[in-house]
Amino acid sequence: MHLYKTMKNFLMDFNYYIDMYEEKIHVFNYIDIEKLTSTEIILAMPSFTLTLKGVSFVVKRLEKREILIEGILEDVRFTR
Amino acid sequence: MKLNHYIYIKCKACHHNRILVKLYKNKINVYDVIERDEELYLKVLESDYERIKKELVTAKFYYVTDSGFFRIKKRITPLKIFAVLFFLFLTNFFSNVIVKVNVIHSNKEIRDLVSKSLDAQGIHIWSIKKDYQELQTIKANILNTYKDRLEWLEIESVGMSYVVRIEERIQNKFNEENKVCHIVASKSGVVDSITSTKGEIVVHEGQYVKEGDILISGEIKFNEEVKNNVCASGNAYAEVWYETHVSLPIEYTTKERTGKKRWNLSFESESGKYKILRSRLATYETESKVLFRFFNFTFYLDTEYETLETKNNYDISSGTNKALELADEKIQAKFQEYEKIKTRKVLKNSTNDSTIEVDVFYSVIENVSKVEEYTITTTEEEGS
Repeated sequence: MHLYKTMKNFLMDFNYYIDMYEEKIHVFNYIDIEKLTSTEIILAMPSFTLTLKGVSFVVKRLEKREILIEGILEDVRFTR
Repeated sequence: MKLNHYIYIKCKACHHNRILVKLYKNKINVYDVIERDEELYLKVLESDYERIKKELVTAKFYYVTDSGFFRIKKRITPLKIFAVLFFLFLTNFFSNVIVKVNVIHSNKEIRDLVSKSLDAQGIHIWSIKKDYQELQTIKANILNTYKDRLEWLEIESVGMSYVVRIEERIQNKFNEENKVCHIVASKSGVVDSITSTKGEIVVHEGQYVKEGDILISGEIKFNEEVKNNVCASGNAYAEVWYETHVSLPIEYTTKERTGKKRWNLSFESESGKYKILRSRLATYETESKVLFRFFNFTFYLDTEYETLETKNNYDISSGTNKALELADEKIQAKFQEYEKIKTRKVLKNSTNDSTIEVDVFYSVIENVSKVEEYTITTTEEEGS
C-alpha cells in the first residue's frame, strides 16, 4: 500500500511547491497567471494567491503546470 | 521512442509578457525564453508553431532554427559525412605508411648494406608499417645474415618514418693471435705519462720522442734477448706544441631582447627551413616548437623575439682575450679523454684596419699512442 501511494505521488503529483534560488523562482502546479509584468507577477495557486514583487522579472520557461521566473525578488505575499 | 521536435521562433516588436500570457491561455508550452535586442525568442514544439501563428494574430512570428538533435540532423549532409569518412580513411592510411627510412650510422658502407637488406625484407618508402612481431623477425634476419658486421640493430617507428640504429661489430685486427705490434709515437713531444696493458714500456716520463719512435714494445725481452712477441697496448700522453693564428674583426655586434615578440609559422624540408609568413620585426631571434610532421615536412610554430643590435669595437686587450677564447675552443675541439692544455702564450698581437691578428703558442698534453704492426725476423743461428 505504501509503495502504491509513493508511485501515485510520483506519477500524479498534484501538490504545489515554490522553489526560490538566487535570482530564480520556480513554481510548480499553479492554477493560473493573473498578472505578468517585469515588476510584479500574480499566480493563482490551489488554495491562495501568490504575489511576487521585484525587479527585471523575465519568464524563462512557461508550461501548463510550471513556470520559471528569473529576476530580483524583493517581496513574496500569500493571500487567502 | 519519439523525440520531441523543438524549434526556436522569434517575435518582433511585440509585448513580451502579453505574448507569454496569451500562449499560456492557449495552453501552449514554452520551454525557453530569451530576450535579445528587444526581440523575444521562444522555444516551442514544432507542432505548436502553426497553432501559435493562427491563435496569436496580433503578433508576427518567424521561424529561427531547430533545436537539439534536429538542428544537428539538418546540418549533416551526405557530402559532409562522406568528407569525414574520407578524411578518417586518409588519416588511417597515412599513419600506416612509411615515407622515410632513416638508417643512422657514420659508415656509408654499413648504411647501404642495412638499407638494401631492409628493402629486401619489405621496409622501404611507401610500404605499409610492420607489426612488432614482423619487425623482430626482420631484425633477427638481418643480424643473422651480417653477424660478422653488425653487433646490434634497432628499428624505431617515429611518425611516418622508421629510424634504424645500428652498432657495428668492431674487430680489433691487432689483437688477433698471429699479429704483433708496437705502440709508436704519432707526434714528436715530451712524454708526460705512459701506461701499458700489454708489452714493455721503452721510454720514460720527461723523455723527448720523435714521431714514429717506439713507446711500448711488443717484444718481451729478458737479458736483452727477445723471449716473446705480443700486440702491445696502452696509452702514452706527451706534451706537444702547436701554434695557432686567430683573426678577429674589430667590430662586433651584441643583441639584446626588447621584450616584444611575434608569432610566425615555418616549415622544414630536406632543402632547408622556410618561413610561411613574412616577419614583422626588423631584427629578431627565433625559438621554434614542432607543431606536426607531414611526409618529409616538419611544421613549426616560431616565436620571434625582437632584438636590439648594438655595434661595438674591441680594443687590443679585450680583442686578444676574445681571440684566446676562440683559439682555446679550436684546440679543445680535437681533444679526447684526459687531453688538456698545459700552457699557452700570446706570441704576437696586432691590429690592422678592421681585424685583430693574434698568434698563440700552445703546449698541450695529448695522446700520442699509435698501433703499428711489425713482422718477426728470425736469424739462422736462432733457428739452428
